[in-house]
Amino acid sequence: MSRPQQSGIRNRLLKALAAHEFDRLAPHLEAVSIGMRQQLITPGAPISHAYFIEDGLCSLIADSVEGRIEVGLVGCEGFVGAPLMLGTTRTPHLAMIQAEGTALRIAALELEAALDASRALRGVLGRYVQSLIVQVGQTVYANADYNVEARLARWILMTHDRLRTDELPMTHESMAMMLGVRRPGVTSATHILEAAGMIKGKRGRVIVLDREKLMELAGDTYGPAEAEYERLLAEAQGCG
Amino acid sequence: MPRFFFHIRDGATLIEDPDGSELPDLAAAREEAAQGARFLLAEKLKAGEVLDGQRFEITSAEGVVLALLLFKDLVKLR
Repeated sequence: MSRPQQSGIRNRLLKALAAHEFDRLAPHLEAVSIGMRQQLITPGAPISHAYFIEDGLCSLIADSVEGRIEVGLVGCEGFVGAPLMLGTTRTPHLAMIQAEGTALRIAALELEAALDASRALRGVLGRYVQSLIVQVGQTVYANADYNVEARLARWILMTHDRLRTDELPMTHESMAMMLGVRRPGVTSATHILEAAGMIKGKRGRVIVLDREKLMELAGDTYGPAEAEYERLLAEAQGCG
Repeated sequence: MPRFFFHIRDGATLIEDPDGSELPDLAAAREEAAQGARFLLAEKLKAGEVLDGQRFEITSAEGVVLALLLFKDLVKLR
């Protein structure tokens, strides 16, 4: 297994580590591809690996007999496996890939050992988990107070941030699941965003045209969690 | 399973469902449309918009309109 080089890495948490911290972790990081609908974490089952996403998108999903709703979104800014950071190996939530890509994964036991040994690593990953809590809080706020168009605008912005390409591979089906709405709600909202020139909808794809307008529509549901992530990451790097 | 498309006719505009849904039969498609219509009506109500004027055109993969569902028919006033 070839050792990843920190300079070639996209994952922002791994990049934020001091070189000697990264070098300690590197032998245990395995490059893997992550496929559409792959479950990185299965509800209730012991988590085998944490995944530092390099490219692609993972949804954290609350599953019930009524349906599914996305509660969190993870891309190259984060890692999947927050429960491991917090001292447990299971979660009732599902972690499922929504856009395929690649990740660097580490076995749960290796991550546990690395966290025990390194305050700096705990500092980076712990702050990421805090940023995730803030993100989920924003989702709660958005779902309570904003209509489908605004929530869709927010979600498109968040996906755009993580995939870093204007052409987002998304179907109406997956968007409906992620927003917790009926699919015609997505079709209707997509039409409204398109008519306003914010996006162009194609079969299986959403193309971002105007971030400014999307941000206007999303209002203050988008922004606070993103700013908090940047603040926390800077703080983590500040204390070496 | 057959694929049904739920296009929304709003006055002169047709909002196309690009992907469709796989459902067992037309009855299931009608039920899916009813759920979708209730959702869209609720959004319009919250926004203070007119509730009339929209309908689902449930269409086959070949583009044949199989059924219409007027949103206003789902509003129960009594």
